[in-house]
Amino acid sequence: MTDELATWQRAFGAVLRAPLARRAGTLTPPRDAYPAAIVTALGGDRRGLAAYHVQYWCRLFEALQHEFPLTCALVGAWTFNQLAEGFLAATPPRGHDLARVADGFDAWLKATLPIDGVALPAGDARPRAALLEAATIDQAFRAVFAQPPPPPPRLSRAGLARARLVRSPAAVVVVERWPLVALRHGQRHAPEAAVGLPPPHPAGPQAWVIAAVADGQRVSPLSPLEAALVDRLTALPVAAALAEVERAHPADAPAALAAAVHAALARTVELGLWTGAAPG
Amino acid sequence: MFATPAPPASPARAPRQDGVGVGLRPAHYRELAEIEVGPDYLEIITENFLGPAPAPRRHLARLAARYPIVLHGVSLNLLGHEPLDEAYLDQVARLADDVDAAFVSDHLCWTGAHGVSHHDLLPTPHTEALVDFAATRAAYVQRRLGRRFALENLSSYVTFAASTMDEATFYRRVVDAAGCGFMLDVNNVYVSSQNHGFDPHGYLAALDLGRVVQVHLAGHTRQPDGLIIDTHDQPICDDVWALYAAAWRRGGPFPTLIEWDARIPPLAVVMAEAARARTVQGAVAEAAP
Repeated sequence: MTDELATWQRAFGAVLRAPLARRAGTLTPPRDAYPAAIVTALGGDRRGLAAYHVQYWCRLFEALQHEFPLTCALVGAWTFNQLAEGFLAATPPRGHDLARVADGFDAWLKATLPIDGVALPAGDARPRAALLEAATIDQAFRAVFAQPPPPPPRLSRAGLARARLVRSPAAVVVVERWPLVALRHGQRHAPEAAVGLPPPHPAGPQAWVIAAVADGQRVSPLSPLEAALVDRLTALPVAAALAEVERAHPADAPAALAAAVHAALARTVELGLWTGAAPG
Repeated sequence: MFATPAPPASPARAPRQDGVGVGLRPAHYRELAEIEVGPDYLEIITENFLGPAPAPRRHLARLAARYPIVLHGVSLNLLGHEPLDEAYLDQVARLADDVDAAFVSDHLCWTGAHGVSHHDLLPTPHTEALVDFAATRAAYVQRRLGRRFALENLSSYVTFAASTMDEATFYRRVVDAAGCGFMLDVNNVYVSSQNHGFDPHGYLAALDLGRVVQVHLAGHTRQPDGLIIDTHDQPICDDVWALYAAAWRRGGPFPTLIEWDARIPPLAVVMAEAARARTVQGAVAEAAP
């Protein structure tokens, strides 16, 4: 019995996973191209088979749009679905969690864009960079959503200078050149047409912390000093990181700079970036 | 042949036999926790609460303190060619324990094959061999979960030349042989009857409605080409309400559930559908001889 089922389900599944035809702005099931053996087994019913075919793709497109709303907004649903189709063809869905069909989409975009035949918004390298930045931000929100808020870190002053802080999986730092985090906040439904890409931040890149908290997620801006400190603390023991940041930010009043760096350190702790400290 | 006695529902957490519940959707989490008079019980999509994300489980724990919760799965893959996924069943069993679910349901269908999940409820032919195959697996699931298990009939858009019995007979025979229950989706009966040209009342007559564990009601969409799709995105139509009344007359009371899965309206709209279900129940009772 299972051999018969396996054979049938392989053939039926292949029909479902075949791309829909793109004609005049609509997705159309290629009814005339369905394998004769499948159509015969269904008593010649191409209409019903087409319904399953469309349903397969629409459900997955919606799942990806939901998981990557900012990316979808930047290119519009039509182009996004074309990207999603390429991703899903390379990475068919596995497992029971529909949201997880989007796992790896950001990495796939980075490896794959530009894709032949996908019309990205006008022209140069900027839209591609913005799209990849958007996908990274969407993925950061997904990663944090999957994490419980961590307990407050146990940090004592003794030995802290030589210790390395341990990054929390429940807090992710993203750096944006365009104000995309704010744009994502306003996206509730996948737009058919691409929304305009806002101008880049005039003062340079902006860093944000996305962190799991008791009632959901908290999004907090980081100052340039705080962002630099997080970067160094992730790589170096605490004292070395502080010293490097102070060296990189020469100031007329070293005491004031040291105080600012220590305040920045305290804020990164408040924001939930660290779970504790490990021997350096 | 395969039947074993069904585990009893957990009485403390079971929906009232004539209770009307609603499907729990994220858009309604907060309101359901705060509403003065809520539904009689909640049904969750099992898979929405199996992932690592803590937020859905946090909301569920809060709501489970107030409402009986039952589980409705979409990924069992009962009629898939591959062995049942034991890790998935472990997760379902733990979730059912956590909320003390009176029963667990899933569909008489396949959802994936050869390692690929299609995230859809897909039909098979209705044959003797598949009665045995499905019943053996359904009986196993019920034993494995240690809870009453119910199978839902599909909305379908195709029929099979290889079928040797009608859908109602297939459904009844699987449930009988497995010793589980019917999770009878009245809208699905209607949708399939319209798509395939059978009498939906005859379908109900073919089932032992005394074994209905729960009834689902939902809206659907008729495509321009006439095919009806089970979209769960609009109010329940009058024909389905009439079929529900017929089912209640034949086999009620049974817990009833309002499903709404797309274009989800404010909770008040879903609750109005629940109120209409109670009105139908009352009308049937009044008309009884």
